[in-house]
Amino acid sequence: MKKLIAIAATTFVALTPIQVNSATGNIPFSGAVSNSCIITVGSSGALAASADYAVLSSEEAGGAAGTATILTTGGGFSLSADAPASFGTAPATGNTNVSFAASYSATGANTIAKTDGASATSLSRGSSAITVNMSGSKSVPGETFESGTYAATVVLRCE
Amino acid sequence: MKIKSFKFIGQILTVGSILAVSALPERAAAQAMSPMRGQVKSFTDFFVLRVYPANPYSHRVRMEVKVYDQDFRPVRARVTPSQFTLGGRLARPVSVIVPFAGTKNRKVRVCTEAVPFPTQQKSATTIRAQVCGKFLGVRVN
Repeated sequence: MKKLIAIAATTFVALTPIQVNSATGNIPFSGAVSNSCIITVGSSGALAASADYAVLSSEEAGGAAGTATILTTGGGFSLSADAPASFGTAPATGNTNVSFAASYSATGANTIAKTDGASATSLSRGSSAITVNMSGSKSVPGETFESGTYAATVVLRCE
Repeated sequence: MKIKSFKFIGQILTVGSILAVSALPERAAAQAMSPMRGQVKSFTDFFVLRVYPANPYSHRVRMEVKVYDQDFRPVRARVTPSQFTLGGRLARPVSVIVPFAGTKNRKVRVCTEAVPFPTQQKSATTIRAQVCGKFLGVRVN
């Protein structure tokens, strides 16, 4: 019984809040987030030729889309993607009779289905993963892309 | 006495934190460009903008600032500096002087472009990121 009382007393002492002289001071913090848009380019895309070699596209088998992340801190921004006017790198006939197209889609804060690059889409605040595709197509029937290396740049714009 | 000294320390911390906030570099956060919208009034033939392109990456990036009109035609504006290398997670001020070119109001887009990384892929698509702010210059006189 004595032991029980001793343990109870010890526990009571241990759980008693310690009284100390204390004071509080409010420390204000402030900051600002500006209304902005951030694009972080991820991976480059890869172009692959169609079975008839009339189209070079990131959506053909063996191709890959380019990726980017867009983060907006407010509303009023829109997204678009400019198709290239020509291949920056191409063999001699690589840019002859070629029409270019670009498209984008998004997941995350903004869900955007595959959209033609020339069409601007309003963005909601938040971070979105963007997928960018492009293609170059020979506009003359029967014409094919010459063997060689091709490279082009798509401008992904947030404004 | 103890309470008084704690209050004093609290006051010092308060003043200190305010000073720390004011001493922070402007727009130092990872933003591609700020501000993104603005209206400037000018009494002269030009209006001046100051934008802060930022590098959201953790490594250095080569950047360009270009000025376009509403239809994305290049505008003959003076951009200082127009090309520069920016360290990771840094921002820097860029001054843009735009002539009214005989107009009372002029809308321009100031665009920050990051120069794409070189790719080793044979047939590749590179993405060039372009963040454009829209600004309106208003001639007052």
